Amino acid sequence: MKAVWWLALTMTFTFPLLTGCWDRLEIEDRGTILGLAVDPVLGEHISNLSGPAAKSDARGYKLTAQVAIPGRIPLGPGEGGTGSPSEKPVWVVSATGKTIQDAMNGLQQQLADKVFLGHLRVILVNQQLANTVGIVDIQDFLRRNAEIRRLAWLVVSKGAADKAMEAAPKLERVPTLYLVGTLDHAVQMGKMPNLFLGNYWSVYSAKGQEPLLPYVSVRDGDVIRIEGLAAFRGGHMVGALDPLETASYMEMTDQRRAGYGIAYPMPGDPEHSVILRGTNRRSRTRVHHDGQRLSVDVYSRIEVNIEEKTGTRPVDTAIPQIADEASQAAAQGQLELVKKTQGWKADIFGIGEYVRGRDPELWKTISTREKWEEIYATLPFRTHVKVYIRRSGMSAR
Amino acid sequence: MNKPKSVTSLQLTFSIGTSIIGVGILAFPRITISLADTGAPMTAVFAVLCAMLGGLVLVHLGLAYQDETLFEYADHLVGRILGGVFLFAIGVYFLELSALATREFGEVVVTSVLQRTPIPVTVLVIVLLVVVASRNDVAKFTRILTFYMPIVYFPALVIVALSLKNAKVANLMPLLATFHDVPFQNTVLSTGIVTALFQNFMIAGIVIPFMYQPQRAKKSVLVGIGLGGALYVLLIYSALSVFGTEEMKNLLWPTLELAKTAAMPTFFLERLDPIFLAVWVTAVFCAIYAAYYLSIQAFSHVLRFQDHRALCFMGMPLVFTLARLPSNIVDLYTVTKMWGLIGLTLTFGYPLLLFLIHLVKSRHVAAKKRPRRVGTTS
Repeated sequence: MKAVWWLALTMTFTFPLLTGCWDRLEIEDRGTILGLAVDPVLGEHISNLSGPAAKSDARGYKLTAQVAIPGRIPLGPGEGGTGSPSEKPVWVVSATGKTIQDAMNGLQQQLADKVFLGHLRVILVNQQLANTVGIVDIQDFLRRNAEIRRLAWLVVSKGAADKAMEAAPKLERVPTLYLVGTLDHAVQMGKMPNLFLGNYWSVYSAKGQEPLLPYVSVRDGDVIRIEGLAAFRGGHMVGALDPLETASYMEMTDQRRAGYGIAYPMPGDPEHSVILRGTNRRSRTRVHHDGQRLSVDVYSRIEVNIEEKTGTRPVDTAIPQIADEASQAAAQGQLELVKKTQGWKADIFGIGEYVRGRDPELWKTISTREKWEEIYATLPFRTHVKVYIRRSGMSAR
Repeated sequence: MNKPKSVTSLQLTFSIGTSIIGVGILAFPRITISLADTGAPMTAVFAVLCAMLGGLVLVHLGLAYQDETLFEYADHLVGRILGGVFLFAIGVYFLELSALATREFGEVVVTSVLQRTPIPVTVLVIVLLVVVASRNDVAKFTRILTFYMPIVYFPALVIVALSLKNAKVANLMPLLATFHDVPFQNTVLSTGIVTALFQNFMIAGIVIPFMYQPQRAKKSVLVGIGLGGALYVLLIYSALSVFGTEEMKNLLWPTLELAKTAAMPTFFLERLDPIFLAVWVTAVFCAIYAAYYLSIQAFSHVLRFQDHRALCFMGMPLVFTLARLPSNIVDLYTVTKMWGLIGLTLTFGYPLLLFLIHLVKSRHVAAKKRPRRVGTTS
């Protein structure tokens, strides 16, 4: 009986403490940020809430956030029609600061509700920042904050990033979700590798590989366009891959889903062309070491369908020639991409990681990022591509 | 002392398997990989083997003294005074171990989920749960652990399966780094650190005398440690394949980040980490429960209590105070690492010592018997 009393006593004193109301925050009281844009501060006054000691590689950052307005976010297809179109579901707020967290504090100062980053889907970084000061100081904030998803998108924007926050695409009422949709679908269609934030971090940390990020631009205030991929070295953006180079990159790194339609000249009829769309790809990378130096062989197999042909030459007899031509062109494209990245000294293919994994003894003699960059810049590549044309659509000729 | 036979061999397996999965699973990939690079998964395998060896020693002793717990036969083997000293050390050790685990649990919760909840409250909840549950007898203790076994294992396996999408084989290479790249002492240290996470297998020492069929304890202990060990090895392999060694060193809790990286494809749940954390609490509870239970049982034996229940609540303020001691998160991990390694001498060394004494004693007894038998035949 005594034990029961003890138990009852402890319960009365402790259980009211344990009901867990500290973190209760109604959804209406959250300042849910869906998208963030990071721009450099040009000339304007930089507000500085965290004290004068706040310093980072950049002079200052301008954060532009898309805050969801509770009740106006269409939750499902049924609710899409509610609310007049003039009522925007998001509110765009911006603040400046010496560091990202400093700017974030400034943002909080303007928002009545507590900033909540658990739904942050996209972080856009102005290319100017990515080029000059790099994104090391930007990503630390993201890494430290427990609310940030590893599956969020970190995107480099050509031109001002805050424009993308204000863009009002017609297809989706929430601009950020449209941008997310654009990126997600590009991955699904095989137009872009799945380069989310967590992937960027893993690759950035690795000594033998350099990260890539999606590269977008905003046009006419409304259209968000995927420009390709931004290549990094040492945390700085060093260049960009256009969509065709992105296709070559994906061919070389064994990304199964293929989605680009690429035009090749029609054999024997240089005035006309065929467009081939990849369906499936496989590739293997082999690194050879002959005691003196390294060389790389990339073998890829691409399965394609014929999507369009111009001119009158029937396609059925020309299939082997088209395949040959496409194979050669693709191999050439790959080599050109390699040349380009070697110019940047950015090993986006992860050849260094391959060497580290397969030949640890050799890697011991390299072991630093800088040394590997030097080796990569002059690494001989050989590309071997085999294109298989499988189908030609509903047309027989 | 006759003990009620109430534990099946399957219960022992599951109890061990559940009790060795604790808070440690969140941080151990970082700690081991920063020591042993890609050789770390291999050291986890070594650690499983070490723990199995330790388990075998316990089983052997348990079979030799089928009706006695580890604490009881220790008294016979080394005497009550020395046994009491060792036992007191074990009690203190597991008490601090459970305190460190509750603190680590509190840190994870306060950093990633309940940011405004004061950490003492989080710690108090788990300590209270453990204390109330530890009032049960050994039979109920094993039943509680057995019951939670699927809840502890299933989510971790789901996370592993879903994160495979982002896995890269190149990150795992070189597979056998332990044998050429990593300094030997780092391999040993890393193995030791993982082995230290398996120390709750000591519960076998107090459960075996309660078994229906103690002769099956060997298999149970081995399979139990194997199950838990397999989960550890699986987790470190998948974390390594997703993050790679360099990124791993940046992540405070790689397993939690793994849960953040895993996404249900085309499902209404986009983030799995809150769910993983919610279920992970169960694993934490089970591990702390086992450690605390061991500690309380040890103390009650030292103090010659008839029933361990009186001590349960007395241990609570102790655990609570010990959990407050580390000043920050870096400190916490330094202390946890050191404490785990020091404890290995106790949790492995002590049974081994007992085993040796047992061997010498039984040899001695046999030697005494033999000449007498020779004498009667001549």
